[in-house]
Amino acid sequence: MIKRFLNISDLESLLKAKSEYGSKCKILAGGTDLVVRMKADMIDPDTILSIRNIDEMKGIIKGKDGTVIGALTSHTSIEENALIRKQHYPLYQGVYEIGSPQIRNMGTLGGNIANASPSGDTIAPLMVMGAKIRLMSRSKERLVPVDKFFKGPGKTVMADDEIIHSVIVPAGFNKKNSGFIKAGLRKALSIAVVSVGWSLKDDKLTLAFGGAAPIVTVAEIRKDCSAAELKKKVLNAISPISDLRASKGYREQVILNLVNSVMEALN
Amino acid sequence: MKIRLKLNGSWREFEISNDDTLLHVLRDELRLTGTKRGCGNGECGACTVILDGETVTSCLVLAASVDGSSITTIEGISPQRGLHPIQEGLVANGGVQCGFCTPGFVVSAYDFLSKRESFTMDELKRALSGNLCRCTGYKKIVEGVVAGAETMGKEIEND
Ligand SMILES: Cc1cc2nc3c(=O)[nH]c(=O)nc-3n(C[C@H](O)[C@H](O)[C@H](O)COP(=O)(O)OP(=O)(O)OC[C@H]3O[C@@H](n4cnc5c(N)ncnc54)[C@H](O)[C@@H]3O)c2cc1C
Ligand code: FES
Ligand code: FES
Repeated sequence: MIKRFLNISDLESLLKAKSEYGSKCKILAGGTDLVVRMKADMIDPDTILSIRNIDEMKGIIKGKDGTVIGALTSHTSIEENALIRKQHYPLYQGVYEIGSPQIRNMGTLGGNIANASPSGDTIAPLMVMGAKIRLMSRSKERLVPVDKFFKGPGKTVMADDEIIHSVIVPAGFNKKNSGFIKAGLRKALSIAVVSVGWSLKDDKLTLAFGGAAPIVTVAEIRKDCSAAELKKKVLNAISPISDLRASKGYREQVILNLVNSVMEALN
Repeated sequence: MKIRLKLNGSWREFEISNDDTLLHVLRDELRLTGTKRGCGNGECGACTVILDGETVTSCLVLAASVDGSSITTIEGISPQRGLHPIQEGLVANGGVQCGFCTPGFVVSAYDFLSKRESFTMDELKRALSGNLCRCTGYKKIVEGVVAGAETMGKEIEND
């Protein structure tokens, strides 16, 4: 039972409410994760802070250290943004792959990150672009590199009084030097079995693996490394599970196939 | 709590509880039963409505969060008398069998078509990809929507 439901329309009130209610409250953004969990009786929050009307947390702007994307920006708005397509191609491909039109209209970038699912489709893209997450509380603000943000499935470094305000993504990632591929069971409405994000800078290839370990993991390799070395590094970086969707061996093989298709495209 | 919604064009005010989904309020409180309850988990699209200009699955929307919003349901798309061209197209092309998925498809198709003058088949299929149908196999639904789009004067581009 939700005892208290607060519709919040400005950032300052959100930070205040978050410091007051702490772990007792849950932020509601698009609701595509939270409401599913509530219906499944996995969580039973006492207080809901609904943030869909906080306009200052929506939108995409060009900043001096990269593109600033508000945490409340929907996947649809990200997909339709020209700057994202030109400068942050892996993120464009990531949101393009999410769920369905309805889920992309509702779901937000902040929700995808805060949810900390190892198969969140925005996470591998943010990893290969070296994004930073701006966390805010009433008393302070900090920037956390995305590869330092996740602790485990559903677990992050965020404190009880903190929120994700925005994400800062370095520019310069286009179709030629970066990307994201997902191998799902079915095109629409499947959470990825596994996915690979990649980016190339000079000779260094950064790979990020979704759905292949408790959190999204990263491997860095030289572009011209041997096939054996590549395989070893990839398998070292991942530790997939077996579940009703796929076995461990299947997941490893699909990841290797995805990585191979990236290497082929590069050579 | 009390919320206000602009529902199919007119403002209405009513009491809801904090846990109510928009789907529950529409179907069980307001008796707008055109919107269907399928999976209840955002997966099937039977409960699709237009919320502030974008399609959403109303089973995942908490009604308390949309106070002050504008909502269009299938009842707001279908005219008082007769059918909307998309509905006519679906009927004429065999796109309706049990009909359970139909309102959701019509809402998704209506939102897609009302935002553009022309489209490709790939774009249309992607726009309908959040709606599931157990009966028809989709081909006839797509054909029905295309027929409706033609009646609406929309142009189909090559992919
Ligand atoms: C049918 C279906 C299909 C889906 N398919 C995919 C898919 O293909 N790929 C994928 O990655 N995901 C998928 N998802 C999961 C989900 O849609 C996404 O993770 C989405 O981005 C979540 O965003 P939201 O705004 O809806 O989050 P919410 O449900 O509102 O919130 C999720 C969590 O994040 C917290 N939170 C939200 N915003 C903030 C913030 N600014 N600061 C701090 N905490 C915050 C909430 O308190 C909550 O714990 C799917 C979900 C459904 C129901
Ligand atoms: S009932 Fe809402 S998506 Fe299935
Ligand atoms: S006509 Fe029966 S589910 Fe589509």
